[in-house]
Amino acid sequence: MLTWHIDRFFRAGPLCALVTLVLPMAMAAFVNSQSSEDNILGILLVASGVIFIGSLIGSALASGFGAVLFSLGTTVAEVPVLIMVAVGISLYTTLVIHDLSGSFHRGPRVARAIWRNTSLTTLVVTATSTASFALVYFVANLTTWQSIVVPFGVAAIGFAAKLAADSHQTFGRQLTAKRRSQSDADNPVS
Amino acid sequence: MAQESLPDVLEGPSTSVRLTGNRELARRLPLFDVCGLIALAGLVTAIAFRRPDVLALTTPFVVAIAAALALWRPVDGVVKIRADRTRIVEGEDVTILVDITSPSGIGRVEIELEPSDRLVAVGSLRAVTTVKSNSTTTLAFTVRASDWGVAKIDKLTVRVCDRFAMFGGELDARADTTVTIGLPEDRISASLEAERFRSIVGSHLSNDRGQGMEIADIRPFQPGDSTRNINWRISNRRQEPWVTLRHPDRSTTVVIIVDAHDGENDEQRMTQRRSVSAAMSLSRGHLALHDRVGLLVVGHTVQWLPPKLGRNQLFQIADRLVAVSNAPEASRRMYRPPAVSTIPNNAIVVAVSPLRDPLMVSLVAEIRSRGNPVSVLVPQTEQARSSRRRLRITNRTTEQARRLAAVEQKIGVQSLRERGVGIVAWAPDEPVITVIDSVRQLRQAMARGRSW
Repeated sequence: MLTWHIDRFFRAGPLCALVTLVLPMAMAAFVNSQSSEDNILGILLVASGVIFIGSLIGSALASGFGAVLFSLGTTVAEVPVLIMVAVGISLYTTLVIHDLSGSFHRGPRVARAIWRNTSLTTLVVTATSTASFALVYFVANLTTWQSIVVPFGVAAIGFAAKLAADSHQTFGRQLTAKRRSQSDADNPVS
Repeated sequence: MAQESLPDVLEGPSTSVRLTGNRELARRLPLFDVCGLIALAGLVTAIAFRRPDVLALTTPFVVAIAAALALWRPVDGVVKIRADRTRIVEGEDVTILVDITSPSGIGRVEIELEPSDRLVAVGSLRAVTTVKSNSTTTLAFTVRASDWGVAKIDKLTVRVCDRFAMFGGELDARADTTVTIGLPEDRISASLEAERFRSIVGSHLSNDRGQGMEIADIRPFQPGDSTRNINWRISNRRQEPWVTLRHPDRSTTVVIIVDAHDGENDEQRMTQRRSVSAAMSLSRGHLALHDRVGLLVVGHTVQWLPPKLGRNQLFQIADRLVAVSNAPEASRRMYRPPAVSTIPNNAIVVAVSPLRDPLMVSLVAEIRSRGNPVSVLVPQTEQARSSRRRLRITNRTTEQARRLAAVEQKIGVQSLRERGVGIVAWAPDEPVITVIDSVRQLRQAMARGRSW
C-alpha cells in the first residue's frame, strides 16, 4: 500500500502537487493574519490538505471540494475584499496546477510552450476576472443590491425568451419543410 | 524534444490517426465541472446572503468557463507515427517520430507510446506539447531493440485538451509500423566461412572445361570447337587458331530447414537464436558463392522460400528467419509442408533442429529418402547437461517424461544416421563456424566410406 502511494505521488507530478499544497497554505496563513475570527486557520489548512490530496490521487472533484471549503473559510473570515480577490485568483491557479500535475504523471517530456501557454492563459483569466469583479463591486457599492439583481433578472428573462423564440422558429421550420415525395425517394437520379 | 521542422527524408511506412470529427475528443473535462460547481456555489451564496464580495472568490472560475465556452472549437488534426528505420540490428536505437498537424491548433497534446516487448524505452515515452495553428509539431521518441524479432508500437495514446483544460478527450490507436530487428551483423558475419562450407557441398569450381568466366587453359583449335572460344590475341601471335578453355560456372542448390521450435523459456529462445544464426550464415555464404538458396521454416506455420539467387533472396530469408522469433506455442505446429515435393532432388539440404519431435525426424527422413544429401545441426541446450541437478527440483513424472523424450530423440537420431543423414550435435558454447567445420569433416568421412 505504501508503495502504491509513493508510486502515485511521483506519477502525479510531485512538484505540481507540492505547489497545490504550498500555495493554499500560504494563502491560509495570509487570510488568518488579516482575520479576527477564530478557527479560520484550521478550516483553511484542512481545505489546503484536501486540495493536496486531490492532486495526489488525481481527483479534480476532491480538489474542487477543497477549493469550495477554502472559499467558505475565507467568506467566514470576513477579510477585506482585496484579499478575497487574491484568494480567488490563487484558488483558480491552484486548480490549474492540479490539472497540470495530472498531465505530468509518469514524468513526460514537457514542451516549454505548455508552461508559456498555461501561464499566459492564467494571467489573462485572472486579469479579466479582476477587472470584471472590480466593475461589479463598484456598481454594487453605488446602488442597492436590488438594482443589480433586477437588471440581471430582466436580462435573464429576455435571454430565455429569445432562446424559446429561436427554438420555436426552428421547430416550425422543420414542421413546415417541404418533404420529398415517395417517387423522388425511389428514383433519386431523376 | 519537440522539433518544429525535421527534414522529411525519413524512411518507413507511417500510420495516421485522424483527430478531426472525433467525439471522444470533445468531452467535458473534470476541471470544467469543478469550475462550474465553484462558480455556481459562489453566485448562489452572493445572491442568497446579499454579499457581492463573495463574487471575488468565484469570478476567475466564471471567466474561465465563459472563455472556454466562447473559444472552444472542435479538435482538428492528424497524428502520424513512423519509424526512421524499419530494419535494425539488436542493440541499436530506432527513433519513433510522431507528427501532429492541426489547421486550427491544439492547446495541449499528450502523446504516449506503448512498444512491444522487444523494444525498450530510452527515456520517457510520454510527451506533452502544444500545436500552433497550421503547423506541425514533431515529437521524437527513442527505443532500443532488446531482442531480435519483429517489433512494433502496440499502442499510441493521444490526449488533447483546449488551452483552458476544460474540453478534450483521449484516443487510443494501434500503430501498424513494424520494426524488424535482426541479429547483430558481426555475429552473423563471424559465423560465415564460405570457403569451408563450400567443401561440404562439393567443389563448385569444377576441374572440367566448359562455358564459364574463369579461364582454365588454352590449346590449339580442334574440330568441334566453337569459334566463339578462339583467343584472337594468341592465335595472331602463333599464326594458328587457339581457343580459350574456361571452367564451367557451376552452382548448387541449398535448402535450409529451420525448426521453429517454441521460445517459451530462455534456453529455447537461445536455441532458436542459434538456429537462426546458423541458417543466416549458411544462406549468406552460399548466396555469396552464387548458389541458389531456399528456406523452409517448419513450425507454427510453413514458410517456404523457393531457391533463388541474389541479394534480394538474402533479405527475404532474413525476414522469414526474424519472424521465427514470434512463433506461438507448439500446439499449432505443422509438419507436413507441401513444399517438400518442390525441393529439387539434387539440392543439398541442411536442417537446423533439436530433433525433439518424431514428426520432424520423419520429415528429414522423407527428404533423405528422395535422394537429397541431408545434414542436420542439432543445437543442444544446457538442460541436457544439468539434468542431474534438475532432478532434485522437478517431480518424478516430469523427469520420466523428459527421459522418455530423450530416448525417443536418440531413436530418431539413430534412424536418421542409418539412412545416411549426417548429424552433428551443436554444444551451447560452440561457435557456428566450428560446428559447420564438423559437418564438413563428417560429410567427407561419409563420402570416403561410400567410395570404399
